[in-house]
Amino acid sequence: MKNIKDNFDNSMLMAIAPASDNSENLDFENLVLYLKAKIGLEVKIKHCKDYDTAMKMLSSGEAQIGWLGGVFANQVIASRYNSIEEFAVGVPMGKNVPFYRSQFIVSSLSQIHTLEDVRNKNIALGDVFSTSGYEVPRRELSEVGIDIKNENSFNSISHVSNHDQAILEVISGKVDVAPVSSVNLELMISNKRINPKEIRIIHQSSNISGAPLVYLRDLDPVLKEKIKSVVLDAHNHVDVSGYGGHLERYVDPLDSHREYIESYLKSQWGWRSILGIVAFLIVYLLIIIDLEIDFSDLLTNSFFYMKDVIGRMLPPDFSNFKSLMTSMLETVEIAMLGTLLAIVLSIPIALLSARNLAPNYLIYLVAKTITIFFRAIPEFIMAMILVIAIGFGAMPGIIALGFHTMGFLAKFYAESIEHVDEGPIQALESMGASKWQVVSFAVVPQIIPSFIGNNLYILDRNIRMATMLGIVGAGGIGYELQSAFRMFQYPRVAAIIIVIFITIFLIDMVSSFIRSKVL
Amino acid sequence: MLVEIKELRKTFDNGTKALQGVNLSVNEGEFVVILGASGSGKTTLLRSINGLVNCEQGEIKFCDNIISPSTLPALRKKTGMVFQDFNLINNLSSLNNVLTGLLDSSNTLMSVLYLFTKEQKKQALSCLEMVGLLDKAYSRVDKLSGGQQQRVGIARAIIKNPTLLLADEPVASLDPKISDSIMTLLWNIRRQIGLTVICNLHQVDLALKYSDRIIGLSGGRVILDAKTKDVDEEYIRKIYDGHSAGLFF
Repeated sequence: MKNIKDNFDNSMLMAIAPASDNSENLDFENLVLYLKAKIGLEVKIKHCKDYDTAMKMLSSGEAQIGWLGGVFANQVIASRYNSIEEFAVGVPMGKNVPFYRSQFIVSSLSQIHTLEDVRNKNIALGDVFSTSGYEVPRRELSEVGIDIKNENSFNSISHVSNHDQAILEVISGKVDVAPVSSVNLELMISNKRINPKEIRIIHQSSNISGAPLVYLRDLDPVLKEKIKSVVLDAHNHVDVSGYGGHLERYVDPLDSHREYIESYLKSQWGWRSILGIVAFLIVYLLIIIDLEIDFSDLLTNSFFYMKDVIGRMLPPDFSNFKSLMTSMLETVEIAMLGTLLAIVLSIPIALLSARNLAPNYLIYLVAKTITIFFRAIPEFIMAMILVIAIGFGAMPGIIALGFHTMGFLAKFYAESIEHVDEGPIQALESMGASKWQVVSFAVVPQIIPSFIGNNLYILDRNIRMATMLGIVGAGGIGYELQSAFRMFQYPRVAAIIIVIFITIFLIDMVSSFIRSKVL
Repeated sequence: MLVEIKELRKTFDNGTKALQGVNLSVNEGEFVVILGASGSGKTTLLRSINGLVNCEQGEIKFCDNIISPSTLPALRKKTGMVFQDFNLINNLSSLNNVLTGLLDSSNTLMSVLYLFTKEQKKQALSCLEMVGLLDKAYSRVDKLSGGQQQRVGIARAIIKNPTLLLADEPVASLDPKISDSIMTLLWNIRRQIGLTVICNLHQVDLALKYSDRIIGLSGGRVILDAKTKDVDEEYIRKIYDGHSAGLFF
């Protein structure tokens, strides 16, 4: 046993903040006795009546060592108290990490189930310096819009001086709810002071760093080192206790801090994302197996297939060029008329199927259903039916394209209408503009760019579609293409494909030009 | 002398003469505030220091090394920046945003797939703790309040333990009470990890409260360079050309 009275001559005062009403739960006697036995340090314990007193005693130097509760574990606050330094954090018995949580408890018979329900109820709140009794609850409550500082947030506030009192008030029914430290709660349960069936936890916070033992920064460094090493080693020699009753041991705050940070580590790709990716891969693998797709055959033989087909298509047969061009022109005209029809039909439907402009929900639903219906029926089918009804020619193509693409255009228009900035609409309404005036001035200008963009896109698309529709007899170059195909005139097929390609290419350039000028 | 700026001139393509011969130096550990009206050149000056803006004339020295395209990467490794509009990636969590501060030293393949080492993540979590947002580590930043977002921005700026922190109007989009808490945070962090701070502000009261030195910029020139305790209303008035006469004191 070393006697180092040479290094200091006065005994120390230890200031303890009141986290518990039960002296057993805040018992530093064992530790103090051990310190005396090990290094001859005389420590007098003073349980302070509130956190503020304890802090002031340490800040003023009246106490040289102490325990201030969780407030000190908060780095931001700790940095304000330059003169105080943490040196050990207690790990509760049975656990291996020194953190705890703030828990909102209610009687098990209570109607309160979520944190929002806490509003306008009777609550017990602890000292404003209590981390798990006030500070963390303040944060958690503000997340659901309840201001702890505002008295009107609750029906009544019972000010308690420690966690145990709060717990007892909930059980006795004096209050409906209280935020308390999990350390106190668990201790009361294990000491059989309360029956766990009597209470329910409705909300708990994330981990709070354990409350450390502290001492004054400007104590003799040798002494500080001795105190710290003795305390950190104490569990190997005696039963240690502190906040929370019996403790496993005390750990260095740096280690405790490190573990505290580590407790927040989560893997980037959660098991859900990984499961999703694996499921995706499995589904596609099964599809490939089911369709009996043979990649090797595809890779080796496709080259020969292509070579064979191209051989038969060259050189392209451009004879009767005039007829080709007339048909191509007819196709483009069908596309243009079809697109115009789609635009004309889409405007009213879009206005009715935009959530923010539809007069009522029923009309909105009906309009939306119409767009879905026409989008769902492929224009091929529509064209075939119309050919049967009307006969061969351009008309079936125009109608089929018009109605089918109306389904898309109306949807696109409606979406851009729904995304307009509300501000201008409100401004005009507030000045007394009528509904149609608001649409014309606040909505239309905002959607013009997307309107033009969508129309050009649909025109592009319709030209391609119109070439296909010719195949079912709805006019245009598609018909030529199909007959050439049927008669095995592959060079003619090649010529037609080239004409189609060049036409679409040119139209695309024109629409890019228009876009750049207008948008 | 951490940063030394000599005769810095910048004229933009549209003819605006943003900087017309700026001379200033910042010592290690100082909290310097650059005060100036809109258009005085504050942002251009700050962004010239870390190379976001290139000046055609003049010289900037960082730790006695002249900044050039070859020395710029080294400077950027030691500098953090906080922006007025936060410049966070909205869809990502606070943690991922703070981790972007470590990208320059991360393995390219891993980081592109958002895979960071445990050590890196712990570093980021510690920074979030320093700004008081540990419990929001996994929340999307666009779900946080303005003040919280700026704190994430600060955590990102300090994760590499920089020598210099540049703050370009960090509180311009925040209300007075939150502005105060953010400036306090910057001040505390500066003390905790030993930083030099150069901060653009247009709020004179914040400048007087938090800075060691105030530099007044007007029309692209330094018209005031004094220790904060020596600054009085006369000086402030000169900076704002009489517009803020009687604003404070």
